[in-house]
Amino acid sequence: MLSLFNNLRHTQTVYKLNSIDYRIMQTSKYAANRKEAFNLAKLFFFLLIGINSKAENFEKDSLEIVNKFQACIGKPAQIDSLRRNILISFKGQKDFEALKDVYWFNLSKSLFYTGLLDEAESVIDSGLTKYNLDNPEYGVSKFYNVKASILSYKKDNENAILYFQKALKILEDNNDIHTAALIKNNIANVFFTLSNYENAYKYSNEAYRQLKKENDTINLPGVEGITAITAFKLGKTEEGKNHALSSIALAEKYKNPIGLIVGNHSMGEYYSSIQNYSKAQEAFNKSLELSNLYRQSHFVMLNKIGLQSAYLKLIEYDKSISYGLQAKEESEKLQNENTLYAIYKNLGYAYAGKSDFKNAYKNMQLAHESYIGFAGKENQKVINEILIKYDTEKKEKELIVSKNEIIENENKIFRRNQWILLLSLTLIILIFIYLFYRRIQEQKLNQIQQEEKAKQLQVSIEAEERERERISNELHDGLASSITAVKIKLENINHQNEVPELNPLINQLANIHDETRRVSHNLMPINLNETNWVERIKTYCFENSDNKLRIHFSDNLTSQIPLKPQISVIIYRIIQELIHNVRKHSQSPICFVQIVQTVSGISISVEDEGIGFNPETAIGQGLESIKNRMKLINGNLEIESDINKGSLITIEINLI
Amino acid sequence: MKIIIADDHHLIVEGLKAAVQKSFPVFDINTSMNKQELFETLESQTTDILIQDIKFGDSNAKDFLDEIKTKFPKLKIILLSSVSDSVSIKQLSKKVDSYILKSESLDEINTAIDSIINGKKYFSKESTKRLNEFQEDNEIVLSRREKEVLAVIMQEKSIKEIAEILFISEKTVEMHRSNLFVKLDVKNLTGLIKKAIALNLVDE
Repeated sequence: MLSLFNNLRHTQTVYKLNSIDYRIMQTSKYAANRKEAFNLAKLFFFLLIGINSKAENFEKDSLEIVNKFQACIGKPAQIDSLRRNILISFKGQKDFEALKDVYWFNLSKSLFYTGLLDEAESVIDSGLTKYNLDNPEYGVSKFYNVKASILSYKKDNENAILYFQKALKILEDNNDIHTAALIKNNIANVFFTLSNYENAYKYSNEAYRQLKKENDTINLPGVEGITAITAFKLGKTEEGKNHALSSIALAEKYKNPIGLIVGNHSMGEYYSSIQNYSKAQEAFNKSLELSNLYRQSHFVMLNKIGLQSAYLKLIEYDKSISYGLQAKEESEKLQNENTLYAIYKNLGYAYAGKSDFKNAYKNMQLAHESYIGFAGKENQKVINEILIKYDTEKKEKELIVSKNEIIENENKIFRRNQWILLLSLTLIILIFIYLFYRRIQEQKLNQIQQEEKAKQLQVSIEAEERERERISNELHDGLASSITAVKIKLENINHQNEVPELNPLINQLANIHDETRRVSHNLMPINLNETNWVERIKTYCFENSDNKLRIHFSDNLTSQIPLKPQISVIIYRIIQELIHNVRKHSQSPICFVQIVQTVSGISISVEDEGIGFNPETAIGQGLESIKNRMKLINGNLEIESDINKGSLITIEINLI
Repeated sequence: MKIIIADDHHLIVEGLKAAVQKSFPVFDINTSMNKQELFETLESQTTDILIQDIKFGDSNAKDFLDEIKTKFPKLKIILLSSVSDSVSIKQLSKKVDSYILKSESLDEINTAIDSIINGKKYFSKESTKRLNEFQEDNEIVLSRREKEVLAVIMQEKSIKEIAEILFISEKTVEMHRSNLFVKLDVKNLTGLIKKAIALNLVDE
């Protein structure tokens, strides 16, 4: 009995949630651990032959058949010999027909668990031949149940549901509510496989209510777990959560590992649905641990899928990929193509998260391929969109990477250029500052030199003026006065005693006096001041005009132009010098001195009609000295002359 | 009649005193060698005529003529000066009763005293001559360049053209032109041309 179940467990290739599997696994494990074989046997019998207990012998014989067939599960040769021999030993017994029924059923079961599905199905069909299928009796239900399971394994899900429903009808007609509930659970599992969660929920929920009413503590936690999972799939989070918690509680209470596996898995689903992925991860891990312990390969796979998804959300891509790859392996082993799609998809996301676009793309394509033929809710469009999106994102990422490289390069160049620009600017600015500084220094030096020159010139002018004044005074007060005194004396003598010879002497003395006075005044003009300088120049011109050189003075001044005493002295002296030059060098009989008021000041010209000179070669010390003095009073000297063309010397004084 | 002779040169003072005393023997003649002495004498003795040298030691008579006139309004002043320019003569002669140049004959002083006694002002021959000479110097004399500029102006050329023709700067042309306006006493170009033709200033 025990070994049968153990064998069953080893040989099964089941990948679906099926109540038959549940029971077998659950009870076998339970038995193995708890050594409560009797209870298990009772349970098992209840479903299969509970209704057939007619006589003591029959019970003994049926048990023998059951044991023999269970013993040869996974051994096709033994099944074959058993099949040929066993019925012979019971021939002639009064319950032979009933035993025959047990034989067909157990034969089909053994074939089924050995993986000989077609043979199992044909055996079921043979077993069903003796029944009136238009009005089937109770015993038909167990054949239908196995046939539906076989069909389900053969992925003929529509017919599987059909036969489960046939079995269900018979059970309900015969008021076997408990077994009906288990069948409902089987139907729920098929719908669950088909991702038809609405029907899956409907049937599993009904099964759950029924079993709860029946107080079936063995099946209830598992069924409630399925109810919880389907409830989550329908978005009934709270209800699912309650079922999940309740199934765990029940499972713990009755030490039901299946309940714990399913319950914890459903809790994982619950936490995933409320996006608490770290809790989800814990629940899945717990369920996975138990699944591994109780060799629930289907739940091993489901939990690994759950973990893959949870770790993906937790951005632990490496773990997600690791579980994804394991789940993929499990899924392939169980030939569960439905789950491959989700596994590949999540692998794709995880690789994308790691920026491993090559693998991401590969997995997305695998997901796409595994989607084909898969009749899920998600449609081709969505997955195509995802593929396109990933393709685009991949390219975009590549583009972004290359763009970033370009931008980075550009930035580098830009930064380098900026530095170059900055440094050049700084250098230029520094050069400018240096040049500016040097220029200022040069200007300062120049200014100081010029000021020094001007000061020297000023000092020399002042010294000259003082000297002129001194000589002028000497001439005037000393010489001229003495001459006058002598003249008066001679005149007095002449008045007393007429001496005719004295007259020419007196006249001569008068001339000498005049000449002395003129020289004195030329040296130092009387009372030359800021306002009368024009008058003084006019007087000078008049007094120094003679037959040799006629000096013509003219001006256009309408009012007095006040000048600083220093400036008026310089102008007076310059004109004196210019007239002196004309007299001395030009051979001109005429000289024009003109003072003109201009917009910015005054312009004074001294013009002659003499032999002229070349201004570029003939500028002597005299003119150079005049130029220097003009600078001193912010004036300007211009010379226009040519050989035999006379000369025109103009001085301009800026008074603004 | 009281006369005072003020000159810082003692030989001159002596000579003048001798000359005046000889012509006017009855006159009481004082002398003074500096300003302080002069004012003391004028204050202590009522004086009729002052013969004053313009350069008077450290001071200049020009500076205290007004003061004397205010303090001694009845005093007549004969200014004896070596300052012979017309401007000075013109200015100083307003403040005094007589103006004589030092280079002139002593007779001029006697003539001046005679005139003042007769209640007249007197300006010496030479000073009168200087004043007139200066004022009469308004004959229009144009320089050769001015004549050249005027000749081209008469051809109705612009300043720029004149400058180019005469090889001189525009500024010089402007200067000559404004001088022509001044000398011919005209206000504009039309006036200048009219007057130049009237006075036949342009040759040819």
